[in-house]
Amino acid sequence: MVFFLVCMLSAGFNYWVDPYGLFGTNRLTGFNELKPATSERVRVVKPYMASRLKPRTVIGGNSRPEVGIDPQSSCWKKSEQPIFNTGIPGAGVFMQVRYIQHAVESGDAQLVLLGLDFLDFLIDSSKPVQEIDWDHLGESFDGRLHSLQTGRNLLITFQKLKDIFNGLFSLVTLQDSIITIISQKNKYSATRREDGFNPGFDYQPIINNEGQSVLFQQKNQEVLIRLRHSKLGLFDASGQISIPFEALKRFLSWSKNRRLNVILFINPYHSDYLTLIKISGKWPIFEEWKRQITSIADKYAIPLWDFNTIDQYSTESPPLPGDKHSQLQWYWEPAHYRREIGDLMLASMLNRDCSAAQSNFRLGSKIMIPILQDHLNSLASDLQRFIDEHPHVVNRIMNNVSSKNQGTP
Amino acid sequence: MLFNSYEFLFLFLPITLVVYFLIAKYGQEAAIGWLVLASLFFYGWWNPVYLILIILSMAVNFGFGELLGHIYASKKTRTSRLWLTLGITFNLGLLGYFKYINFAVNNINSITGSNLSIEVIILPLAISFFTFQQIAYLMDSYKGITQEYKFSHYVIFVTFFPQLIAGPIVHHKDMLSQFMNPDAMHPRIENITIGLSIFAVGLFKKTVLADGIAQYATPIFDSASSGQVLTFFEAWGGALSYTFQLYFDFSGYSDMAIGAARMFGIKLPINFHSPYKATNIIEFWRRWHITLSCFLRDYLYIPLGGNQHGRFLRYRNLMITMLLGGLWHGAGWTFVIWGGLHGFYLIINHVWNYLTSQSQPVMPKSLAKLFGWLTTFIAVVIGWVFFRATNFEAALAMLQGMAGLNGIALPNAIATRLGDIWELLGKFGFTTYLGGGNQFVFTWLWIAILFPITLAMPNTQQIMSKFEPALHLHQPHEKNEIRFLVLEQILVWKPNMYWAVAIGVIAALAVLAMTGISEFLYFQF
Repeated sequence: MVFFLVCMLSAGFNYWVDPYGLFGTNRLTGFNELKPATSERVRVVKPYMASRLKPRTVIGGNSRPEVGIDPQSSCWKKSEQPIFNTGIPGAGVFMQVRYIQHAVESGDAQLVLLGLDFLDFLIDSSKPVQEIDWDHLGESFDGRLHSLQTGRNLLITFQKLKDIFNGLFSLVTLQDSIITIISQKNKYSATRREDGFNPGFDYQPIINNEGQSVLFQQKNQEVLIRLRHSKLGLFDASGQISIPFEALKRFLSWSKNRRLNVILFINPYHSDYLTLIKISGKWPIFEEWKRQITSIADKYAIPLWDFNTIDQYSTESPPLPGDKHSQLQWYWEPAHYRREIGDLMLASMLNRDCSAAQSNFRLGSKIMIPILQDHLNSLASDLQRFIDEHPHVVNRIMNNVSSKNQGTP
Repeated sequence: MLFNSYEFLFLFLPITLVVYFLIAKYGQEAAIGWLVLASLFFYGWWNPVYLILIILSMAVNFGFGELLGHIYASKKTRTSRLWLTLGITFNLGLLGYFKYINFAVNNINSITGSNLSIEVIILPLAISFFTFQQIAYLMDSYKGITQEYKFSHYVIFVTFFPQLIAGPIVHHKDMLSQFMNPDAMHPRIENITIGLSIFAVGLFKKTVLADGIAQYATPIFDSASSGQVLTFFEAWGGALSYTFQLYFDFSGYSDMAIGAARMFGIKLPINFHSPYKATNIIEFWRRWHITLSCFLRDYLYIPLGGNQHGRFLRYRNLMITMLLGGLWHGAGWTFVIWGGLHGFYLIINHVWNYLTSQSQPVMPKSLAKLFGWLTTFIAVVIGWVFFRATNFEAALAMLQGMAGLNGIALPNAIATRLGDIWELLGKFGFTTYLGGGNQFVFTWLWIAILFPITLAMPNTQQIMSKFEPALHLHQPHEKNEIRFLVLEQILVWKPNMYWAVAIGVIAALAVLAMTGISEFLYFQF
């Protein structure tokens, strides 16, 4: 009796608080509006959020657009709303596009903005890839997504029932429900909004307590460790196969069949990040990657924007170690841009005067095969000039990555 | 099938229990037959193919047992010893093939430089446990202590599902007498209530406590394996987390086994008795995996000569016993080192006992007890590092961190909040590292919760002490443990409303904690 009572009360409480945003229970300010526990379950809950929102516009990619492109930006037209951000942290390209497909089908969306990221296309080029088994590539997450195949509805229903059960009858969920209520007092609690956007609140306490320099230091270390892997390349050992490129092509082909309006964009990076690509010796691969995606975009007649620039936005200097007051206007850290940059990007891609920038200003540039080489040369020379003129930046980055993960309290 | 699975809790256990008592009305043999079928189903749930192995093993051992019984009656000692040797060889051969052949081949290759290859053999579930149990049966048959004439009875002794997967290791003479007791065929509310209560406590230990802290042990040991440098608090955090994880995992499992058996009216032997309260390593082994310790003592240490031939041979026998005990836990050198380390600890303890018995105490009793407890606990934690580490290098990396050789560091996020205290710590050489703040806080929070539970709370047997919860209960001496009598006196289970509510809440929390992946650490021993 007590056993069942405790189980049912827990389930009821978990449903009411809905700490992951799984059930779509009303978000009440001061009670369950912020959902810090969602951060570790984005892959589980975003399909449910998308199904509820039924978006007309979908933003996709990895964590960069998730934290950078805001569905509540003033750049969106009424006819494009509701907008859902289905960016998934740490996801590969195949997973990113599968989540976009799910969100598109949930609301019969007409417009998709897909952020492309260099690191998501780097694979181990020393190993051959056997034939790509697309049906099983997404086994770990496909159960929650609208299926492109027939006869999988039972699997989806089973997965959904399992998620609902786990979301209700779980001690971890109960703990997260309690933490959710307690966390409402903290305006910097991590969260995902109902439209899938990550406002990046959780960066703020780190900046306030440790200074933004530690975010740069930590990200620079992570990125360089990853880029220094000598076997990284764009294709497998045969030089022919790349799952990320193939996934992108399949998605664009599917979009074309649906008459979907797709805009591709290369995520902006802080100059630290671009410098790391250069330092690690991966710059030629970086340029080759841009050639490949430009070629793919051209094949499917899809617009492609490149937001890699060396300008006042990307070269903003991070605060000095120990400075807990200053913070950058445009970037959280070298890999993640703020929504302010996102607005500039939307202004460019949608060709609207909606951001804080001057009305005639457009961030980034639309790239196409004929102008690509000039575009690449221009970025390479801009970066080289910046490095030459700011040797202390390279020194700082090298100090960051050689300081053995030590911080400065 | 795992105890902490929905299929076990809500289907297998209730159906097996209800049908058992329904069939028992029609006769004892039918009920035992049902329990045999259910237990084989329970075993086959993991991989039905291995049912052939366990049935074959039981058939052969039953035959050996029959032979040994007849020969004992005819007093032909030499023939008897020959058959016993053959029987033990059969069991060890089976265990050796499935558990140690890959290990042996790898070692031969690395010593001789040869390139022998053998396909990876999957370790059949519970083979270590049912092998030891059957060796004990053969030795008992050889000595005339026990004898079984019915195969179905023998099968229920080996496969009775509560103890089949990970013990406690039971003796034929303890079990069959209980199954044959006509009273056991009638459902008793007292047995069901006590069994459910013990089971609920065990499930809570496993799913809430062990699985709760496991997430903080695993990443640290993984880091050590991947060659990352661990600082003092990281290494100790990982080692202590694993120390508590293993205890709550295995003792929780044993409680569940004892509780499930009790629902059928069967009492299993006790397997744990608050081992981390022990103030010396000899006492630790009287409290940790008690049925294995008894097995090793009765069937290995004593046959080797035990303590009958002088101190040196006693120490040798101890070391051999612990080395083989270590190897029993896993086919790897880290397990052997773990066993050897405990053998070494036990020898030191015996030498110490011998020396102190010849002289006056050098410190007050209470201080000596505290010192003894601390030394024992640290020695045990160091042992667990070898037990858990994937290889010798990873264990050394952990121990280096624990010894402070890689420095003492705190997450930067915590250091910034310490203010003036950090200034002071900085002077003592403390440094910081980026990230890992939450991990650090939750690791030490879990440790701060579980440490007092293991030291101050009474164990399941003490809580259920008025109802003879298990066989062969441990009777500790005050000098061998640190004691907090207050809680032991308060937390005594009684069949009343308060305890019903408490057990209901514990059971509910334990079941609610089951969502997620969870496997017993002793699953493949």
